[in-house]
Parts: sequence; C-alpha cells; structure tokens
Amino acid sequence: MNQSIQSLIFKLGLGAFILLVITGFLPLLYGENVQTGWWMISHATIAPIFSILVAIGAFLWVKSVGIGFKDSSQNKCAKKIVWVYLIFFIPNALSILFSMNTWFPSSIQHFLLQVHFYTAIGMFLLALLYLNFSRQDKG
Amino acid sequence: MNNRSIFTLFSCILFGQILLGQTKLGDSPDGSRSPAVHRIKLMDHDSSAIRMYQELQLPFSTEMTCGTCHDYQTVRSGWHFNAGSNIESGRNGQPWIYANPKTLTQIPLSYRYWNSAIHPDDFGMSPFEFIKIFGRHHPGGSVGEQDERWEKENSFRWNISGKVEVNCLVCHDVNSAADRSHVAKQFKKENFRWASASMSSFADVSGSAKDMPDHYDIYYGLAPDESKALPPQVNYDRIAFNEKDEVFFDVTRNIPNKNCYFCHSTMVVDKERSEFWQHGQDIHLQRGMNCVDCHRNGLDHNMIRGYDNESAEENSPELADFTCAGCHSIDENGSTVSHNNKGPVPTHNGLPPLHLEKLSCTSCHSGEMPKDNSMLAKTSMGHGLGTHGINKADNTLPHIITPVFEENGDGIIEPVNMVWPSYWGWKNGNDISPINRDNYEFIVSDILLTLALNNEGSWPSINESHIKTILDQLSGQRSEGVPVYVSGGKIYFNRTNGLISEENEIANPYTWPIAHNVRPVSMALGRNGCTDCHGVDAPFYTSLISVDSPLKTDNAIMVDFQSQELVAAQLFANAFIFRPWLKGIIYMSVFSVVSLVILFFFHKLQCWLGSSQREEH
Repeated sequence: MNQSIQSLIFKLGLGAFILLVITGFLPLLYGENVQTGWWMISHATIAPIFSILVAIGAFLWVKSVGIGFKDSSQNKCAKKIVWVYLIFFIPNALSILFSMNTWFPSSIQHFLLQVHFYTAIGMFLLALLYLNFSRQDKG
Repeated sequence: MNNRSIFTLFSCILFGQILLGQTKLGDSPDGSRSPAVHRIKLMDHDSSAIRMYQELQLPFSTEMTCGTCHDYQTVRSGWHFNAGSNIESGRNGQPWIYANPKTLTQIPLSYRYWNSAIHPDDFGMSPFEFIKIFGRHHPGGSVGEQDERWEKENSFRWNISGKVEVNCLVCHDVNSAADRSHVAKQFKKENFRWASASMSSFADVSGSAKDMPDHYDIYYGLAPDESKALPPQVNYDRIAFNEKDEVFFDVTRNIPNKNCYFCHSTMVVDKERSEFWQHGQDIHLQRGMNCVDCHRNGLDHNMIRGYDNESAEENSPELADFTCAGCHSIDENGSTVSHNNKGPVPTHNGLPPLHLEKLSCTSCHSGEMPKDNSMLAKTSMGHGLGTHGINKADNTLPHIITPVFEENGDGIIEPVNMVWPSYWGWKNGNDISPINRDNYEFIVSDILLTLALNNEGSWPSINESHIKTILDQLSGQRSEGVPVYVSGGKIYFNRTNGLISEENEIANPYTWPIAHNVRPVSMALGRNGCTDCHGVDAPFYTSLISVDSPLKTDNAIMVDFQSQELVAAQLFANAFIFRPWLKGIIYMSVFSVVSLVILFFFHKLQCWLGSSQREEH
C-alpha cells in the first residue's frame, strides 16, 4: 500500500516538475525576457501542487529508505542526489515566496529570481541524474 | 577712409568670419551666469532699423533683430521649428488635430512622419491654411518659413502675410505684459509677419491681412477709396524706446514654466474631480524644478524630449541622463547616471522586476490614474487653451481619450493619449487616402445643414443613413475608387445592399505617450498593492476605452491595446484571492522539507560523533 502511494506521489511529482520546467524555461527559450501571461499562470498554479508533493514524497521516501545512507538498499548516489534535491528545493521555494512580499527592493527581488532560476536548473539536472541512476538500478 | 577702403575692410571681416566659423556675439558665453540685458535696436524684415521718427512702422523681425547677435539659422533647426524638414521624427508626439463637427472630421495631422498621423498635404491642407489654423500655438519656423513649400497659387497671400519666423519671444519673453493670445489672434487674421510684434508689451497690432486684396503692398498700402478694411499695422509705444531707438526686451535663457504652459497645458475632463485650483502639478515642479531642467537645449534648440530611445536614435549617449532612469537609477558604482541631477532612487519594495521591464516608469507615475471609463483630455495645441473665443465646453472636439495603457513597439506598456481619426477618404484597392478638404466640405455641410449642431462643439447626432447619403454624393466626384468614411476604428462604404462597415488598420487610433504630470510614490499606481492593477475589476486591464465617432460604436477594453488576453489577466487577478493559500501551502512544504534536512544533518552529526568516540576508545 505504502509502496503504491509512494509510487503515485513520485509520478505525480515528476509530472508536476516537468510542467514547471516547461512553463518556466520554454518562454525563455522562445526569446522572452520574462515569464508572463499564460506561462506565469500555469507555473504559479502547478507550483503549490508540486511543493505539497515534494513534502509528502520526501516524508514517504525517508520512511521507506531511512534517513542514513547505510539504512537501505537504494543506490547511495541516488540517495545523495535526493538529499541535494531537497536542499535545493528550500532556496528555490523560499526565493519566490520572499519575492511575493514587500520586504525587499526590486534589486534584491532580481537576485531572488536569479536564485530561483539557478536552483531550478540545479533541480532539473539532479532529477535527470536521479532518473539515470534509477534506470541503472533497475537494469 | 574712402569707399574702396571701407569695402575692403568689410570684405576682410566677412571673409574672416566665414573662414573661422565665428560664433555670433550672443552665442559665445563669457562665463558669467548673470543674464545679459537686451536693450537693442529693432530691425524689420528688410534688415533696416526701426526708427521712431519714421511714418511707416513695420513689424520687427525676430530673424533680423535677434539674429544680429544669435545664429538664427542654427536656432531654427531646433525641434520646435523643424517639422517639415528631413529631420528624424522620433517617437510619436502630440499631433495637430483638425476637427470640424460640421463635416464629421477629426484628423491628426503632422509634418513629421509619425505612425498613424496624416501629412497635411495628403489632406489637401496647404501650409498657409495650416499656419492660419494652428499658428495660435506654433512657435514659428517649420513650413511657415520654408518658402519652397509655399503653394504658387497662393503667393500673393504669402507676400501680404509674410513668412512665419521663429517667434523667440513666445518662449523667452518673461515680461508679464507679453500676451501670447495676441499671437493667436494675428494668425486668424493672416498677420503672420506681425505675430511676434503683437505679443510684445511695446507694440500694438491692428488691421487684418486677410481683408486686404491680393495686390496689397505693405509699403504702399491701399488707395484711399480702395477698401474700407483696416490694413495690418503696428504701433510702437514710443515711451518704451530710448533716444537711440533701442527697446528693452525682458528675455531670459532660463524659460519659466508658465511660458511652456501656453502650448503644453493639459486639462482632464472629469466630473468627479475636485475644482481646478485644487489640482496638483508635476512633482518635479512642486519640488522647485523647471521644465527646462530636463528639456534642455543648446544653441541648436534641439530640445531633449527625454524618452528612453532618444539617446540611441540621436546617437548621443549624454541624452540618457535626462530620462527618468537617468536621474532615478544608480549605476554599478552606486551613483546616479545623470551628471547634473540626482533624484531619489526608488527601491520599489515588493515589485517583481519584470514590471520594470514590461512597464514604462510613466505607467505608474504619470498622467491620470485609470478609471472604469476613459476620460477626455483638453490640450493647448488641440483645443486652443489660453486663447480668446474658444469653446470651453467639456465635450468640445477634438476628443482626446486618456489614459490608455498601450503596448509600444518595444513591447513596453505605457500610458498614452488617443485620438480616433474620423475623415472622408478614397479607397483604391487596399489603399485609403483622405479626400482633400475642399472636395468634401461643401457636400457634407450641405447634407448635414438641417442637423442641429450642439453648442458644445461635439459631434452632431447622426445615423448611418447620413453617411450613406454623403458617400453617394461623393461617389459622383470620381470614377476611380470608392468613397469611404473612416471613423471609430472602421471604414464605412456603400454597397448595393446598403452601408457596409469593416475594421481597417487605417482607422486605428493615433496615440502619443503621456509623460506628465509625474506623480510621486504616494500617488503612484500600485501604491495600494498588486491589486491596483491585478484586481479582478482593475481598470488597468478592464477600463472601457471610448471609441470616438459621430456614429454609435462599442467601447474597447484597455487590454485590447496591450497584446494580452482579458481572460488571462482576470484569471491571474483571481489568483490573488488564493495567493495567501498558495503562500501557506509552499511555506508548509518548505517547513516539512527543512525539518527533514535538519533531521538528516543531526543524524549525520550523530554518526560522526559516534565514529569519533569509537576511534578514541
């Protein structure tokens, strides 16, 4: 039961993450300087769903594989990647949360957006690595 | 000294001046910041000094009088005087608007090649007519001085009225008795060459060149029995002249704001507004600045217009100092960009940076705050404000719609004023050109004669059958092409089954950016938070923009001018209702993940301490 829920959360989270990557980076690849309109609306709608899935998924994952590296049979590298991914998630989410308040001037808001952008790239690369290790494990 | 010696000396001086490119006396400052006193001789158009003992008094010429010490040819190349020459037109500016409710016409005109403006020649308006109508707020020069543009058939009238020299006094005269509305009066009377003199405190102009026959000569006048009309003439106040026939001009290099206001006043028609005297003005002026502190110029009088791309267009990097960002932003060294002025640098707390990329500064800080419906603006150039005999009704033509937040060619949203053109034209294939004024005015006026015009000077009440009748009449004028009426964003034309209307680019509104009045932070759009613009019913997206036409038209919506979709804008606005939830969810998620990460680090720390202790044992 737990396994299937974990699998479902993982798949939903992965789907949401892919949508976030598309809505976040595609407008930039199309030559837009900033994300606006439908891209922004879609991105902002998926973001809270993704963050819930990350939180729940992280708890379930820790429950199943343990908090230490020696506790489970999962690939040690894959496990490290998940931890780094979770660490990246924190500034990624906080940077955009902080920018939604009136605490910071536009220059720092710009910095926060840069943080969001680069941590998102990091998360994307880590997700690719994780999928690669998972495939190797299955192979 | 004999004549030959004098001639040789004069030739040497002249040749020397040409060779050295010497600047004139008044154009070469000696470093003193004290203003020069202008007690000078008046010169007429023939370069003869005006003497008080002469019986025939001619109006003084600014070219000859001011040009004695200042390089008039350089001055007349300036922005205010160079329309009609081959100079780059730059960003759209306020056009001259010819409006006539009797002929259902409202047409933005300009000798500059601005988007959607119509060249007066294409409308069949001669330079003479243009000057006569718009000279009231024209500082001179331009086509009024470009005699190669003057129509040959009208040469008699030009000879009587004279050329329209740059009127230096309009801007530089600070004498409180200088009456600019007198200038407006002279242009109506076709007294072009008398216009500058008429506003000075020491000259009185009477008579009318318009009433003079074509053969009238300003030097010889009329035969006693020829006409009872009073010829144009100037009477100088002898008390103002000293024994050397010099007169004092109270002129200054630092133009006071009130002089600029004569041509650049704007009044917004809004019933909900407080009384006129309660209105504020531009924050820069309230803080003690003058218009010319930013809108500067050198001898060439090429005024700095102060928009973002001006520096690149003019290939002049220093012009960037005089934009909003020039004074109000800091460079990488932490100092303001401008060499001269240092305005407060805004922090824009909580403003996502994309707003600074997608919106002009003026969007939040200039012009009128958007409301549920667009408003009408009245301007000096458009409505003749400040002159005598104008219609002061709120609704008088031309109808300038304000504020409209429009996306410009660079993809930046900025507030603009808008005029919807209404005119009669010929359609040949896809081309539509205006019908010459003379060819339609009598037809349209005749057909609409029975209609009661309102006193407000606004559009008369007409319906499509009037347009159909007029177009039928016009179609008899020409075998080629179809007569059309361009109005309210559409073109109307007759078919066998009746009057047809269709949308056409040619009917698009003419817009020009609003730069003033600038509002401070406390009055800026967005001071109440994101929902000032991103509210579900926020006028920034949903304001109804009047599509002005004598015919009944549907209003446009603000978002139509922004390359955005109303659905997307409103959906995004709705998202602000759920934003606290969104923030809460993400905060909780982050808190959960942070807890796990801390747990992980404590676990690692525990492992490390355990292994250290084992090693010690």
